[in-house]
Amino acid sequence: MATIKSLNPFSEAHISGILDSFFDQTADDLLSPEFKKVKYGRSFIFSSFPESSLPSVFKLAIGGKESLSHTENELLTKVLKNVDNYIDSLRAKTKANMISEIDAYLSESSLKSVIPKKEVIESVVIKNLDKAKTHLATISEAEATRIRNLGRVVSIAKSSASIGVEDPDVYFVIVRDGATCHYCIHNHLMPDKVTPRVFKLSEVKMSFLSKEDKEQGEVSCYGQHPSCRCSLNQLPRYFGFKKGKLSYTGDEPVA
Amino acid sequence: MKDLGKYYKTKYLNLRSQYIKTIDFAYREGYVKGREDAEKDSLMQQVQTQQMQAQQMQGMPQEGMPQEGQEGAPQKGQAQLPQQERQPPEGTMFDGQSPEEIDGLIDALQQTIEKSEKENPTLEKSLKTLQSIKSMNYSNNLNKDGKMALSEQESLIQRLVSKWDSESSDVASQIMASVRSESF
Repeated sequence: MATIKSLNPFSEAHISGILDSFFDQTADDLLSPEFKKVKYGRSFIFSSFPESSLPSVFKLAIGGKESLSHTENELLTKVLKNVDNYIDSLRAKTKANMISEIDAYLSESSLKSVIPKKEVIESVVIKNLDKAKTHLATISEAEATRIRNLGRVVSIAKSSASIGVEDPDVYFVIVRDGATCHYCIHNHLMPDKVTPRVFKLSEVKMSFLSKEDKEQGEVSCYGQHPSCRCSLNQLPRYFGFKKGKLSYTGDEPVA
Repeated sequence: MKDLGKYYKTKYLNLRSQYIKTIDFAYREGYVKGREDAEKDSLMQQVQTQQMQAQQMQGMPQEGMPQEGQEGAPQKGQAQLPQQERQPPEGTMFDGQSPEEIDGLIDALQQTIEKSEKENPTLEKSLKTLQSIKSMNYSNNLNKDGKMALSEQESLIQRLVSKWDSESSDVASQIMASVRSESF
């Protein structure tokens, strides 16, 4: 009678531990080590912003201030908690997929009474790590875009309030190269594909855009897609666009 | 009677505006002249101080140095301008001033204009322009911040992915070691 072989619980726990520490390190790099203190309530504020981390992107987007206000801290913490949850779910999914695929291969090999090949298991591990990398890059890009544009929203709202504008005019600056997508050009620019479209800040959505939203010309601080490089900017008061160039008009711009 | 009152009021307003213009012009002229005089004085003082210092350091003129009256020597009464003063000023008008300072100056100007006369169309336009300069100042700073944040984002993603690439092979070999110990 053929026996079904699978990973023993110790191996499972070991694989799980290796993946946990790898994902923990990645989360630390992305969210900054200080996030853990904030997450577990040991601290309520971000006092350091290590280079190449989401808090540092936020800090630069709001003007490179040394310390954040209470509201900014809360906003940053909220977004980082979301990113942490996404990474947790990616970690759980990667663990589950990898262990179940190795298990399945070991079971099949034992049923066929053949010795499992090292190369096959290696390819399963590498395939799952590559998948996780792609998902992680997507999460990081989308959330970094969001956090960058949220920082810009905070900054724009603050500066416009100081000059007495309640709902400021904003526009997106797009990065033009071969990778610029159709929606970025269509929704962030006028039909001449040069002049930026001007929106009221209240018209900019704070959530992901569905395909229908994009087709209807909606804009969001998440950008048009996860790796969107378009940046939200404030249109100065009494300025407008003439032939695609920012120039003084002397009138209140019409959004 | 009503028309007569209107006539006198218009006449009074015209006279007042002429008076303000004259005062303003006189003030400006006086200010400009005063500033020029102050610049000349400070320049003369600098030249005198330099000459005094040179005399103190050297005691007497050295050989090879142009003497007074020779070619190349400064003539009497003609100020020798320091080298820096001859060069055109570099940088923009906002150099060395923080955005807060500029905002403070604009606010002060706005208040002065608002106090002086509200219904003057020229002043209203000046007010608008000041506000636009203020918002342009904010906007320029914001654009700069946005660019820096975008490059930070790009370097973050690059670093994250390259670190994952370099470390995932170690992770894979650790996992393989764990599976191998029981399966092969």
